[in-house]
Amino acid sequence: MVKSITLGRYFVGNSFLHRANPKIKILVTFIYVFVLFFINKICSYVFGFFVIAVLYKICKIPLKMAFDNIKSMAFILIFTGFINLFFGGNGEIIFKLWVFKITKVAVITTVFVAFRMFLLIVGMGLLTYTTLPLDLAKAIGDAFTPLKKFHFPAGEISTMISISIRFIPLLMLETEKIIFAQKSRGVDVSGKSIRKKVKFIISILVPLLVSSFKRADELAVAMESRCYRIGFSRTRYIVFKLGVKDLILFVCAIIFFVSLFVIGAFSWF
Amino acid sequence: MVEFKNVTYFYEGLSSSKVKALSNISFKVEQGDFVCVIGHTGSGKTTLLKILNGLFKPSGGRLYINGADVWADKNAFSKLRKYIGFVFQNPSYQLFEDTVLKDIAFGPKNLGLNNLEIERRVKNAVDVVGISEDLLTKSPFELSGGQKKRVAIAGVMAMSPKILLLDEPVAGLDPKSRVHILKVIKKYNKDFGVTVILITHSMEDVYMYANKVLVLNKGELFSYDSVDSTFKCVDRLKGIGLDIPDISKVFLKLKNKGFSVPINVYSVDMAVEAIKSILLKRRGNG
Ligand SMILES: Nc1ncnc2c1ncn2[C@@H]1O[C@H](COP(=O)(O)OP(=O)(O)OP(=O)(O)O)[C@@H](O)[C@H]1O
Ligand SMILES: [Mg+2]
Repeated sequence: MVKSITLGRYFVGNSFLHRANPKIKILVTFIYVFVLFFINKICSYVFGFFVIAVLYKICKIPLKMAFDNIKSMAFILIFTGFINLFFGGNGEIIFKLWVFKITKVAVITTVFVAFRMFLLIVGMGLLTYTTLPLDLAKAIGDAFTPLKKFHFPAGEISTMISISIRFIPLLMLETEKIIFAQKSRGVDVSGKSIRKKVKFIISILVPLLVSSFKRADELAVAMESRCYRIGFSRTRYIVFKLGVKDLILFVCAIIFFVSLFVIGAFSWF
Repeated sequence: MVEFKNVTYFYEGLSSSKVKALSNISFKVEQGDFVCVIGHTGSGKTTLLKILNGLFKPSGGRLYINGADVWADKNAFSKLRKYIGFVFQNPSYQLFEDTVLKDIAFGPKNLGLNNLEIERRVKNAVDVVGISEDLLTKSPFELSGGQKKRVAIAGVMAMSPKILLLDEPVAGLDPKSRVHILKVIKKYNKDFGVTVILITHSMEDVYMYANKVLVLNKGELFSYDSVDSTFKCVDRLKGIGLDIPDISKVFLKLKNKGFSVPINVYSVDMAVEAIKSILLKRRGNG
């Protein structure tokens, strides 16, 4: 069960992307998401996917991982696809059944949205697979630092994010144990009726919540007893510095994004 | 009756590596036995119990319960949960209802019994385990660790299993609760002929309550024998990080020096009795 979660999982490696500054990686991913929304040519999408596939190869991450992610989100993708298809836009109607009608515009948007979602997931995967979750959290936290001037609790938020990420695998393990414990008390796991299902879920959720609160409580005490104080700036064991390599990475990324637009401008579909 | 036949178990580690937790384990437990499972930390005790309860499927080998191959016979597997009760190492993994009473009734309810029978069983379990009346309407989360453990045990006993598995049921309890809970389990074992398989780190528990000892070492079956014959091999036990009570060592040494003393002496009380009877015998002779 713990192993079935692939998004947000880190792949050990030593590629240039692994070594790059997490802040730059986040920034580039952020821009990438924006760029995706302004691209509406199939050619650009295909080119984009090609470049990302090459990057996966360089980082030695199996492309299968990306497709697995898409499988796990298939429901959302199909659902939004349907909404788009049936309610997306007016104009020339090419298919009609009862209250449902499909327009040409809707078909086109649906296809584009599908491509965008796909590229989004695959691209974001590249970020999470090559960055340790804790580094990611710290980088996100650091992004808030300028807001400190306005009394925004940037340090605390960064700590909070790192703690949450740190505890996800533990919670998964704990859930597994609780399921085992309830199973051996004869809880009906494969019960068909709604009542049985609800009962099963409650019997798992309550112990999980209780133990999470308890754990949070204990963690707070443990942190305090080791002198953690809110509002004090903490030093870090590993400090990422911006270097020439990161600049090169950033420039390359920009070139990639621009080329997506250029390809889009010179192709018909 | 429970039988393990060449059971092997692998955990799936990170990046699809495999961690061997049990290798080639074979043993048989007769109905009504009280078996203590001992072994160094990480030797595979909990894994063994989880396989027994059908939570893990053996990677190799077979598990027979009453002669039926559990993983080949669907009928046998569906009966497994009714037949075997499991008290986990950490009781807070299973308590969830809003009152202690309801929580104890959760297991029997899952068995699909009628209300009258459920009530009877819950009352029985509460009496046997010794949970005081005023706790019954409290939330299980307001209890102390020892009280939680009792509720968890009562919850499993209320299902009237034929085999009771307990993972370190008395770890971290005060001496009085320890003895109480272990006595309750022993009584349950004797009165109802329920097979008990109990993991413990305490050698005192072993000689006080068990009639068989299963020793695991690094995932392998080290020995499965009566208490006396297990404790006889002190040196071998020491080799795998286990120990026997000091008093037993004294008697073993005396025996080795040529004194005619019994060697199945595991507590000071037993030692006193043994020495008394030797002295009496001498007086009789002389
Ligand atoms: N979920 C898991 N994934 C991978 N390996 C595991 C997992 N659970 C246990 N192991 C490994 O299997 C071996 C046996 O574990 P097990 O929990 O059965 O030990 P134990 O004898 O119960 O120890 P303890 O006395 O500490 O409770 C250990 O080496 C452990 O590292
Ligand atoms: Mg254990």
